[in-house]
Amino acid sequence: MSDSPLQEFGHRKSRYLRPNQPWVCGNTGNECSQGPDNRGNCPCVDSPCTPVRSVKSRKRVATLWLVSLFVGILVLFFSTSNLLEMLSPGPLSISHAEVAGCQDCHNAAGEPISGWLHKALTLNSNNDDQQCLECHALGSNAFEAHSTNEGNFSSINFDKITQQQQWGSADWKIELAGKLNTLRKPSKESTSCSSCHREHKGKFHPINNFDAQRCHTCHQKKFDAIEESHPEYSNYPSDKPTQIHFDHSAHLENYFYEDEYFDLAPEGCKQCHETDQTGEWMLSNSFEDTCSGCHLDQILGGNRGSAKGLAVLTIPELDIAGIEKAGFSIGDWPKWADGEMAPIMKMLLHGHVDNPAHVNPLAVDTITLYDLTDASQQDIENVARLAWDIKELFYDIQRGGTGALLERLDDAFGKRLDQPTLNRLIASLPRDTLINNQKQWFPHLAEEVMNFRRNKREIPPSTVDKNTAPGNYVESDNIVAADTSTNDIDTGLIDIDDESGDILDDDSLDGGNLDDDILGGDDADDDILNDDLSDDDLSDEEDNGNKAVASDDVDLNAQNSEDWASSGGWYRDGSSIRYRPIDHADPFFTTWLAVSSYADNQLHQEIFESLTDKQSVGGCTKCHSLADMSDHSAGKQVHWQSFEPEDITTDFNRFSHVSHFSLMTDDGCASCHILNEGAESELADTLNQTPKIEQSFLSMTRQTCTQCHQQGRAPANCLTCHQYHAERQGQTIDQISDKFTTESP
Amino acid sequence: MNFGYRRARNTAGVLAAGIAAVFTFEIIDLSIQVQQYYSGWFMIFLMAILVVFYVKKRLIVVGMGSGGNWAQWHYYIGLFLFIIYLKHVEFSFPDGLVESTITVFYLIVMISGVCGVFINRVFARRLSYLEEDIIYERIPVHLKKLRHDVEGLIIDSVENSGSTTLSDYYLQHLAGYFEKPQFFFTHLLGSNYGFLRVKDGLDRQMRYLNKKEAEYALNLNNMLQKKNLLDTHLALQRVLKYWGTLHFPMALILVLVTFVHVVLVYAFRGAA
Repeated sequence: MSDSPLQEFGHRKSRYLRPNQPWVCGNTGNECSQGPDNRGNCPCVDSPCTPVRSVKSRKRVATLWLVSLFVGILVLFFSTSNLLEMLSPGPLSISHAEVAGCQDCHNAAGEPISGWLHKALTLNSNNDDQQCLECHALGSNAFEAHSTNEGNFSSINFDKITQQQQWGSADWKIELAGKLNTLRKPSKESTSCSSCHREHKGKFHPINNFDAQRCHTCHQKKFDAIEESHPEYSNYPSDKPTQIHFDHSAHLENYFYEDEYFDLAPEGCKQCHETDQTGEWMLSNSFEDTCSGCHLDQILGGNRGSAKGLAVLTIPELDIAGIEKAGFSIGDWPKWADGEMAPIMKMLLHGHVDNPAHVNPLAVDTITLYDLTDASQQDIENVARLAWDIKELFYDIQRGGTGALLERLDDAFGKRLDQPTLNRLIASLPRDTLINNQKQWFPHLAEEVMNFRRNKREIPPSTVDKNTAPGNYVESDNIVAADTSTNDIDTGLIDIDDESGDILDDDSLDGGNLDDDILGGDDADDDILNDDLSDDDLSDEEDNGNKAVASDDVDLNAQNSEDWASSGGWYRDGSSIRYRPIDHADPFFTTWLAVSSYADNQLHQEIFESLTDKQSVGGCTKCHSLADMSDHSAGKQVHWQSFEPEDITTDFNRFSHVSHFSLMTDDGCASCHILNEGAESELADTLNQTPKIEQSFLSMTRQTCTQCHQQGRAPANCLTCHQYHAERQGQTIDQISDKFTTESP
Repeated sequence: MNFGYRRARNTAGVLAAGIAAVFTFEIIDLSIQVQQYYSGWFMIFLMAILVVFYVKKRLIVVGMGSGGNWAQWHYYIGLFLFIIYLKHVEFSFPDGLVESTITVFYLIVMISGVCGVFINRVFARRLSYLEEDIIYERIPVHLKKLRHDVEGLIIDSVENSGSTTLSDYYLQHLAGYFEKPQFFFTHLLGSNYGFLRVKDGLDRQMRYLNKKEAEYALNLNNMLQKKNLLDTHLALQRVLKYWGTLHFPMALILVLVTFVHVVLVYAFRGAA
């Protein structure tokens, strides 16, 4: 190559080409000294060139074009009609296949683009996570740990767990992550849905794919493997008494040996228990399918020694002589009345307490009604007033029918109960029962009460000389009746033969079918609930003609009323009107228990206690446990149903029974559930006592599970047996589908 | 401490830092947080540092360290950013139009950046090994002048040698070579194959030339080498000057798309 170089350097040999300018001279090799201006115009007048862009300018223009092109494409992109669909970061998983539009999950999707920038700058953390709760009902503590109130952790004995020996250690990354959590001091609601559930990862991406190792970042006590250092189980699956008391040990070991029960013995656990629809829980079959063969008769009072029916309306025994001696008259009163006032009747009387003319039935609780020897004058007056209250009760009910009874119940509860509840509380109390009782107990009830009310409820004075010894009273039909023969006008008493006030003559009530003649008449066929004429003080020829067919050979009414009513219902027994259960889950008993369960009223408590006593009719609480009220108010409620999965609102565990059926040995359920032989149960004597209930089965052990669930065999990560979302979740598809848009945006 | 050692040491350091960062984000992910928020903002921070390099080059009067050091940091931060990016997308190509667009632009910027490192290193060294320096904007002038000289040489050879062998060969095989720049990609690869083939063709014609034509052929050979020099300069300098035209606009677009991405993420996020 020749020695002369191609390129000469030096300001005299090589003209400056002005590369920093946007335009350069177009005369290549013979560039002018001025060069084009910034607009690309050649200044030469003679033979102007065509200026060209410098390299720097070309690069700048290329950059400008590329960026402008991209911005233009961006503007067009954001102007498209299906923008949201194009902005999707990926397809949804199958779990959310029913989601039709972006706005179903993202609030921003329903806003204009201008709002997105504003929304991006807001600090509302759980913005879209709230949308998740539209379908996934996780309760009010959704974003707290385990989606539950921290108070639910109080039942866990952490001290016992942390004392567990041989705690292992997790992977070093988990340890560091745990420390990071400690340093970060996360707020109470810092666990968002998207922390664990990542969407838009594809159709078959498991949205619940959660590395169980993450559990250890929060749980300070860590362990390597379940079979090595997981805490031992404590009272698993449950440490709480069951809702239905049932002594498995006794039933499996001691019962069903008698001939009458031998055939009723269950063949195995599955005869009484079956899985729910999910296969997760074991439920108890119904009473009819499991227990009725042995226990129904007990409920109905078959072999019960004491009264088989619940006393509802009772005539208490009163010290008539004492009352009369004190100067008060209470009119007719059955001499053979015995017993105490039934709690339900007390409550019916209580409704009129606000009226000073009535006495609070609780006020006479401390008074010995049948012996007023030592009672004060005021107490005796209260007792007398109580007697008149009772008469008025029967008068009002018999005259007003169920309407009056319902009114009394409304007054007693201080509120209007719904009609079905009221109907169950009355249980179709027959009118004829009341009528027959009234004839027996208070034959002059109508006139007495009417006179009493005419005199503004002033207790009429006794007509008996205070010094007169007992035995001089006028007796009629074994009823201690007032001597009304004087026809004392001042007192407004009406002659006993005066029929004007007799409610039995009220045609509007009975159509004229009932009158005084019934007392001695022969219309016994109208009575469907006959009293037993063989009772001590009632059986005599002057009874109200219950002998429809007089026969010297057959005593039609030989059977007592209680036995006659063996199928349940109302009957009269002495001075009481009683109700006998018609079946298990009798509506009368269950409703009275329900309405009296709140301990805000002493009368309610008395009713509740009378029904839940160990010796009570029906024996409901022999099997049905009592629990504190769910709304934390005072009182107890009855567990009517056995365990149902819906009862559990917070559950940290999950277990599928049906998945493990194939693993049972010849012992069946006892493969895992070991009977607690010798477990004893004792019901409480009083309402405030805690019943002594031992679990029928021993706590399961970790070893039972780790036979299979261990590394290398069955799944053994945290989420196999534990669920993060402790609150019950989920809605039906019908509830979910209404929330979705029908058209994509 | 030679260049190779330094490069290996620094690259190893960046890889180690990248692995540490990946584990850090993984630990953040294990602590029940969305690591993409953290890795994303970290990436934006790194991108800002990379952009500052460009600003620094424009603000020469501002003393912010030498350009060489800044370039070094630019290279290694870019490499570090790539590792963070892989963790950000969980080592998979993302679905979604916006996300895949970001990925494409990022890869263009990153690959063009890596190529730029290579270009700046290798091509510049190659240019320094050439016989002489030539101003890029002058190359068309030189090409034009050289072509003129060659044509003059050929005409002289015909007039003085009385033979047209050389001129015939020139017209058939060398006229196109001198007309415009040749063998662009061959020169980028650092090969003279194209030039050697042309030169070899001329050498083979020597046996057919007479004595006077042979002298002209020798001059023509010199001019071939000058042509080759110009072609080499053109190829190397053009790439050196214009590779940034791909890198920088793509980086700018990447910044715009990243902004859109951030707005969309926070507008449609579930939670922080």
